[in-house]
Amino acid sequence: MKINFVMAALLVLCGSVYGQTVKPVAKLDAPGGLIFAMVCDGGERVVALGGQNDVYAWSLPSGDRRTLKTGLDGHVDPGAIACSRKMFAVGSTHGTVVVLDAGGAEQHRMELKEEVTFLTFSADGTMLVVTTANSPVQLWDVASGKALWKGSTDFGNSYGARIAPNGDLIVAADGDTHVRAYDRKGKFLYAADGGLLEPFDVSLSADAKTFTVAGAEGIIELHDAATGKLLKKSANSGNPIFLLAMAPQGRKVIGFALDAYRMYPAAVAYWDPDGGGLKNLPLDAKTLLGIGRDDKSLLLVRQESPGKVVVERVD
Amino acid sequence: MELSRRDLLYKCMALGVVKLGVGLSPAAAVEAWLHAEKMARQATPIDQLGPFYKKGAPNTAVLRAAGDPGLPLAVAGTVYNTRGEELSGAKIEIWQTNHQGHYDLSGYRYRATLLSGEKGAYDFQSVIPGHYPARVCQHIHFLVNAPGHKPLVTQMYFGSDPVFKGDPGKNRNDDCPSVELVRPILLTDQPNSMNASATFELVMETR
Repeated sequence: MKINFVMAALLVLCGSVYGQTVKPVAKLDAPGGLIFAMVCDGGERVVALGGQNDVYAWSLPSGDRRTLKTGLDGHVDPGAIACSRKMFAVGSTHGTVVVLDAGGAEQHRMELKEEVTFLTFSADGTMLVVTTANSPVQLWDVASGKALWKGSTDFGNSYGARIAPNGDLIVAADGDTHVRAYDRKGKFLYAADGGLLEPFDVSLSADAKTFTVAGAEGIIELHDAATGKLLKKSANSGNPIFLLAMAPQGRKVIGFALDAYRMYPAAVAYWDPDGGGLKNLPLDAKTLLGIGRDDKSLLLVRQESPGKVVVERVD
Repeated sequence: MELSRRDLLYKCMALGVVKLGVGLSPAAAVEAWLHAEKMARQATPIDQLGPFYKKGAPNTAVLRAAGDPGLPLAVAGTVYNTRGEELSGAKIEIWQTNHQGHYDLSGYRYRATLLSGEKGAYDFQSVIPGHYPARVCQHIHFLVNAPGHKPLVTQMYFGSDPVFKGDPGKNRNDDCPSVELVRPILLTDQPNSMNASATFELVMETR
């Protein structure tokens, strides 16, 4: 107990030394061990993947929990869950994406024939960005459940991808070490260099004027979203970064880093391109489920215990 | 009445459905057609690229440095297209873990770029890669590029991998998408050391 208190005091001290504070904003009842979680844009909900392929959705700040039955066979990859204000989408390793409404009723079932690796909705929930294990990024129309277009790569697949709040720009982290940008109709805009190793995720700033990209190299890069031009590069975090979230204001970014060997959560990298170097936040990464943002700031989702999930604000 | 493929081709020629090139007799055309069909190969199944591809790997066929621990491995094969033609000058990028299951992310250990030779042949020296927790099966990544062909992204697996319990056909798991990618491993017991070898043919689709 005393040790925990000392550890907590040290973490707070480290946090203030680094200039960031991590404060809890919600504590949620959990049904047991969870694998991955994400914050829906806007921050009204948190969605998590459980061990039996069940998906749980909490409303914030009330903490009301809903269990979503997807009826999917196969597994669900971390990242293959998306939520908008009105919809959920969940993809399976067997290549099926199911779209559910806010009440959990199935709206569409799409067959992609490849392991689904990443999903994200447009802000208005009308479009769904999809990546799969062996193909470039795709954009789907949610109302019809049909693919609108598919991007291209020199080889291999796209990993993470994002769509601008107005839906006019889609950026994808491609395994061929590029970041490619498209307009909403799928017109190719540019390919930016994504580093020596594969980039795993991109994140657009709220104004969609810049994006950050990170991946196996453990470095975060800031690019101009209109041209793809590299603006700034961070130091190395020491671990591959698999997921990024940019703050709703400014250009601060956090990256979810995994240990390259075990693929366990290793750190949360924090970088403010406008001041200060890249740092790992002083927290127990093993408890980390996901990262995201609401309208105010960056958020972390951690599992404190099998029965408790905490949502924390990074300021 | 059942028609052989040969009969069918002759009838098609007679009907004008198949046109012959100048100076080519019907018999020669049929033989060429059947030969091409016989030579045809199934494209190598694709497999996931990542997650640790790194561009700019050195041009070397020796991935194993002197004194490296692990079971020495020699891999050889030929690059073909689906018509069965050998592809020389194909660029083959290879990456794998060391014998303990660790990828080199900061450098280029166990990463190489090769060019297939005159008859499409390639070979390299390495070690059997280790297992690591995120992947169940031992594997080597391949990325093959050749003009006029779709890039081939695939992986080679090891029939000797304990995970297959001696029968990859029966005990294959989701980590290995096709039994065709599981290669038999030949173990050679030399007086001072044991070595493993395998062949892995790479068949590319035309664009």
